[in-house]
Amino acid sequence: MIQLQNASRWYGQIIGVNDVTCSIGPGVTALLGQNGAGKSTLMRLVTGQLRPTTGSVKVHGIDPFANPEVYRRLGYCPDMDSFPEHLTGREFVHRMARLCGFENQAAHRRADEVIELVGMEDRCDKKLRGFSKGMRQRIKLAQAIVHDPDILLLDEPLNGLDPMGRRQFMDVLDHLAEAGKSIIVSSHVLFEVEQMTRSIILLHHGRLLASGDLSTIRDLIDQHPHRIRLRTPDPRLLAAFLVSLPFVLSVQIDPDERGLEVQTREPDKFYAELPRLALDESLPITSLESPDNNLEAVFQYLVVA
Amino acid sequence: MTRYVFQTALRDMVRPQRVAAWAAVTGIVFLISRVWAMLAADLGAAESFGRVEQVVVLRVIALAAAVFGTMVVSQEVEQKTIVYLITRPVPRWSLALGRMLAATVVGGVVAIAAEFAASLAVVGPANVVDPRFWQDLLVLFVGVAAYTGFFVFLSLVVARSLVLSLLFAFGWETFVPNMPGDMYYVSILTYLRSATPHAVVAGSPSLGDFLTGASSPKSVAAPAAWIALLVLVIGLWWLCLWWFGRFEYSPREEAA
Repeated sequence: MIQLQNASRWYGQIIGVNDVTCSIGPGVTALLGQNGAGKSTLMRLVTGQLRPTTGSVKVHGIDPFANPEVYRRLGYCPDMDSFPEHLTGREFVHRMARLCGFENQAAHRRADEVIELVGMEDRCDKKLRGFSKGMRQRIKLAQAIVHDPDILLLDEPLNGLDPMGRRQFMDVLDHLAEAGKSIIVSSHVLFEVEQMTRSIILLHHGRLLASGDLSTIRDLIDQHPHRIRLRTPDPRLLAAFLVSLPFVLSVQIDPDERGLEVQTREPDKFYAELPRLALDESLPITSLESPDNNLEAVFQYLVVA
Repeated sequence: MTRYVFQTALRDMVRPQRVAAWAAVTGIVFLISRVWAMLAADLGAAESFGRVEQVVVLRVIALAAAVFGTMVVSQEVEQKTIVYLITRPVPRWSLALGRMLAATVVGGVVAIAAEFAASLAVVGPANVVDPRFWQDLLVLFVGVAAYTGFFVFLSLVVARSLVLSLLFAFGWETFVPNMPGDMYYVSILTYLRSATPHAVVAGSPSLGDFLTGASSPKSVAAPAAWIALLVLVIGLWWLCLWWFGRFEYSPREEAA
């Protein structure tokens, strides 16, 4: 559906996307990268807002730049939080439906349908300027799917959504993916992406670093000692139990004696074992975090690899 | 689709706050015209009206065209809402045309209101609408279209174009028609002034002459002025539609 062939995009001296070659088919694909990695630029290339400086971008085999033929089959949810604020949510979605070619009544019906689909039916008659971030994200999704496109590009769609909103949003994505849509979701949060899809495109400094199944990345993560930080009132006691676990490589007590850092090669086993240990030995654990379970660490691994 | 784009743009341009602002501008036109008529009581009503029209009304249409012309594309880019328009299955030329038509219609309504206010203030309610009033309105409408084309093009080429548009409307259009040589040809005001043949006031050049661009006696024959205006409108509008379809209009901060 979408093909990029050696596509590069420069903004003067600054590079947005550098020599990217990939193709994206049906299902949910995550565009993963840190801020400034080139995700939004790539989305703008695919949505025909920008032209590649070199290389080519094709959507259904045709150049997307300013091409209404492409826009009939493509929906785009931008990352920007900008709207015609004087309109209500319903008016905005209706207006977008009209611009997609729906007649007035059909546009009203279709707007109502998608507004219900994104869970905004009881709140979308307020002016957009009064919407919360989460409500705005939902309305952005509604306008993107109002014309039932084959391809949907969602740029950081989960920003600002509460956990319930995220769950509903992902349900909508599942529903659309099951209907055979090609969905590209950008994110800089690995955890978010894992909940949506296994198929990823990883960008770093404008370059395509990896693409394919998320397990490839997970495997790379697991090849490195995985650090986990725990906070507990008695870190030395907890450390004594942890060092007895065969998959724990090292334990280091924090200087403030209120926490510790564990290194393990098998984080899955560690996470499975830790709750049992805490319950059996009555060891209160007040917080748990993994500094390696983020994109920055993944990129470090991949760049080194 | 151009029609729907036109309708929605028109609706956005005539929101209550904007209508109130332009009603206030019309009120100011009336006041200035009234004061002018009182200060130039020795002139006939027709001469006074001609002068007021050229000093005030032609500036108001340039102002309206600058403001509404900026709304066509530039404002959408600055507010980052352009993305919702350019990723719809609507040809870009159609988007631009619908919005430019809306800007011209709203600018035209402002022109009518300003012309009516000036006429009412200078010649009084009894003769407010004479045959020349309608001829002038036609010229003003073509003037709005020409200015809109120019300002929209400016907004397509440079960022934050409103300031430049206002400089053109009030600076360039005031000074260039008065400059020696043939510079007066590169002013839209010259053609508008030539196409609205009001009585020329005899006497030494005054501030009024300067503001109307008449301190230099050069002008263009009315038919030539009409042709120039129509060429400007068609040429600038075509250029805008072509340019908007050809170049990128992704929100600027985001693109960098």
